Amino acid sequence: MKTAHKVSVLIASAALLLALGVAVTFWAFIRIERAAAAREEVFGILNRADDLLSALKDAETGQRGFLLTGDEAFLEPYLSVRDNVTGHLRELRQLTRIEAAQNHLATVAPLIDAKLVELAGLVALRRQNDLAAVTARVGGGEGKRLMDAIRAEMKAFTQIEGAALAEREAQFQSDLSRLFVVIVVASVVAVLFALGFAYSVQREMQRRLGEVVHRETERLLGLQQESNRLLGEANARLQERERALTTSLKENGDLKTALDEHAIVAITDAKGRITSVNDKFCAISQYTRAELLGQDHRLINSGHHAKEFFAGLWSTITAGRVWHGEIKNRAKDGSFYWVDTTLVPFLGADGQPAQYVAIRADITARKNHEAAAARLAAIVTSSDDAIIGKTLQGVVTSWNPGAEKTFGYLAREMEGQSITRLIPPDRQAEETDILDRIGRGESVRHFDTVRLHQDGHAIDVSVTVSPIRDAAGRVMGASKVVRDISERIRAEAAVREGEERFQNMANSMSQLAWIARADGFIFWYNRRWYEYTGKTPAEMEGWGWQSVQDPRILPEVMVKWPAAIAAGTRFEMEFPLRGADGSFRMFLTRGEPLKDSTGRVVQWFGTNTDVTALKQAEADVRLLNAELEQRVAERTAELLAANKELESFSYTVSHDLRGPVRAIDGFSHAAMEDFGTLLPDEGRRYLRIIRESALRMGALIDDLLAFAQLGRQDLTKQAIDTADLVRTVLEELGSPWTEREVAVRVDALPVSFGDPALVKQVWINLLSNALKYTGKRARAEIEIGSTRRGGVDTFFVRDNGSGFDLRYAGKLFGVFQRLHRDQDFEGTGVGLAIVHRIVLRHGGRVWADAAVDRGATFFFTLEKDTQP
Amino acid sequence: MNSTAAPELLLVEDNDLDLELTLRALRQAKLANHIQVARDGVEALEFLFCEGPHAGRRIADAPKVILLDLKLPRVDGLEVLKRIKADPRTSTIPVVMLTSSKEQRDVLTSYQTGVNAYIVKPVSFERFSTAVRDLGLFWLLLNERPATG
Repeated sequence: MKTAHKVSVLIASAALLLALGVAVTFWAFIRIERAAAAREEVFGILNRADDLLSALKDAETGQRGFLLTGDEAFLEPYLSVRDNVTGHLRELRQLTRIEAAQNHLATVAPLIDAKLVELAGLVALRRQNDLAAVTARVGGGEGKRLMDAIRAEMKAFTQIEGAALAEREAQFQSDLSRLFVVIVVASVVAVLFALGFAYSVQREMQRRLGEVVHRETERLLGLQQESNRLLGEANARLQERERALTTSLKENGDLKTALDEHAIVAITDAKGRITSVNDKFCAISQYTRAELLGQDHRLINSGHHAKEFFAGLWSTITAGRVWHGEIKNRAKDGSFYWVDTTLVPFLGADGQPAQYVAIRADITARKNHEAAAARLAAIVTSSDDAIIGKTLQGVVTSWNPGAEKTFGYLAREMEGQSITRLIPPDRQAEETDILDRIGRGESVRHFDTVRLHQDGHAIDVSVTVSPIRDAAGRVMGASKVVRDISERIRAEAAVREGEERFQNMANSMSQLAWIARADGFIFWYNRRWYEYTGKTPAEMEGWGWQSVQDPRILPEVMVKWPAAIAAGTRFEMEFPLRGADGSFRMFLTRGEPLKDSTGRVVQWFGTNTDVTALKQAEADVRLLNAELEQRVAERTAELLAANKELESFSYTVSHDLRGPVRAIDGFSHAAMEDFGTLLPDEGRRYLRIIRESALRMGALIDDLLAFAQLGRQDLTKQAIDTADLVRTVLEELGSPWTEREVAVRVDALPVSFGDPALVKQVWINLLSNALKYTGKRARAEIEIGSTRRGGVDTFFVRDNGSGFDLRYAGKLFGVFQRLHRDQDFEGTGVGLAIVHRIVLRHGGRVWADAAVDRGATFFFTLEKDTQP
Repeated sequence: MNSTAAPELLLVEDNDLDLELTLRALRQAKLANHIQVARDGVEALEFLFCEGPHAGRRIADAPKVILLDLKLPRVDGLEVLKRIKADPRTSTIPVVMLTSSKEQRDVLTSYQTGVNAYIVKPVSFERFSTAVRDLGLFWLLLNERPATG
């Protein structure tokens, strides 16, 4: 068609224009590139020309520098030009395209050569140091002239190249503007084409749309005519139907009245809303007709049926089927009634239910009966006991699950069978007897007997049989309730056994025992009681035990025991009881209340324990204690007195002894001083001996006094800086032994706890001993330190002295005991005894370790060992 | 032993032997010139308070030091000390207990009563004489006394 042809033409033209545009642009690009390249070339040439000229100038300058200074360093630019100039020139020649420029290059080449020669000549002259010649040459101006000529030629060259470039540039610009015009024109043409194309397409679309609308309108008109015709026909048919309907309605009305007389009737619409009810409906539901119409059956919903029940009902009737069933409804006052219901859907013209007619009959009474019966049945079924119904002949009519469990037979196995199956052979007579009694209308209550299980084993049971009467009151059967009492029988047996065991135990124990009721009435005594008291149960029963009480104590017992009974608390008391031989023995009586779960006392359980021997022992011990205490007090007094005597004795002795001893020493000394020269050596020796003995006696007395004093002094314990104390003691002791080399090492010493003065004495004695017994060593080494042993600090003094034989260690701490001879080491033998006493008074220990000639170590503690 | 000049040292000692040894020691120390000896507490007090045989003395001419033994017949050392220290005329006289007793009880009581020094007589004569000499030198030569009269 025309349009398609037109479209393709237009598209083709557009494509063509596009191609044209692209071609033009492409051509333009190439031109631009070329122009740029050419420009680059020319710039390159110009640069090179410039470089060449500069190089030459540098060479000249360098050479001038060398001419002036003679320094070869200046010649560097000159040397490089000389070597490279020919190359540069050749390059330029190759690059230049313009003939005129080429000519200039040809001219300049020899000029450059000449210049170089000139330069070289001057350089050579300078090298020879011919300065006059150099000056002359330079003055001649040849060099300058050459340079000027070269510069002129190069300038011309540059100008030509530059002109050529400018020309090319101009050409290029005009090309560009031409191109611009072409592009603009092409664009305009393309736009015009596009507009034209769009316009023609739109025109075509509109025309087609108009055609379609026209066709549709025609079709609709046709349809309308057709439906008008059909409606007319339907109307006619309808009128006919109406007439038929009226007739049948009348018939229905008559039927309905008949129905209303008999049944409860309700009619609902398709949705279940009540459209009509009869009088019976109103009566049973207690609602008025006005209250019911328009409601649906939710009004009388009792809540008894599950949702599924009504769902099933609806699905049945909405499907067009009739539904039968029993429904429980709620009346207006809240009471319930049961109706046997038939629901009939009346289908409409379309085959779907248009109405539902409900016809109901009141069955409330029947339902109640049924429920009651069911409840009773449930009781029988769920009972654990066997409930059996039988005829007067003993044939089983009913057998509940309890009976199945008890006897092992299933219901169907026993129903219709004789009950004698359950009865052991030796008890068959029982059944006859029971049936007779039943026949007479009597009941048999809680009759314990034995019956047989299905598997043959016997069961202990308790049976109750009652007559069943019919409506007229005649006995027509028996109802038997059988309870398995095996458990109970077992429990009773266990109790009996327990009691027996208890009795055995109570009778065999050595104590007297009894059991009383909650009110204190003793109803049982064990055998021992009767053995001891020699009484009879009849005499002892209840409160009879009072007769074996001591009359003096009895009143107190009669206060305490009833009090305990009343309070329900444990009763405990010691009192004498008379034995069979008439003598009284002391008993410790205990009564324990036995309480039930509510805390009420149920029984009393009591014992009486013979404590006569015990009491005696107690009394003996008390007596002994008293005696002992007295003795101790006496002894202590004696000791104190003795101590006091000893004190004053030792004081007096030491004090008074001193005087004469001083006189002995003093006058011996005076004799020596005044008359010594008159005496021979031996005489002087005797005097010396007398003096020394006196001094020794004085020392002994002092030590003895100190030792005696120790016992009396009070011990005041406090914390002692042991290290400080030791240092002080060493200082105090230090002086007499400055002639020997004594190395004393004191380790870290912990704080000790004791009487400072006494502890100082300990250190003094131990350290002076150490110093003394190392007297024979060239170098005395004494170490003082402490360890922790057995939880307490143990101090030690170690020396490398003469030591002692451990075999005699027992004598070490005895008073006046010495393990060395006086000649070897002087001493009174009291020092260590003093140490021992002080340490002991602190509660500590002192001991020593040594070997002969290998030194000794003395250890001591000031407190008790806490660990072994 | 009593010289014409006022005695500078009063020695109260009952024991003959101790007395002799003490005087010997003082002599050796060149302090023997001005010693007054009393054999018991009564003599000591008579001397100090210018009574009895010493009635002609002036109390102000008191000795520079008194060496006093504790154990004295008739009136014992402690009693003498009390009397000396109780009377303002004599309380400034330094008293040195020179006794055998080491008893703490005695030391304490003496100091509480106001004794100026307490020396226990050593058994060794050498030590004894050194002690006496030191005592003498100290109390007679070194120690300052308040001015009398």
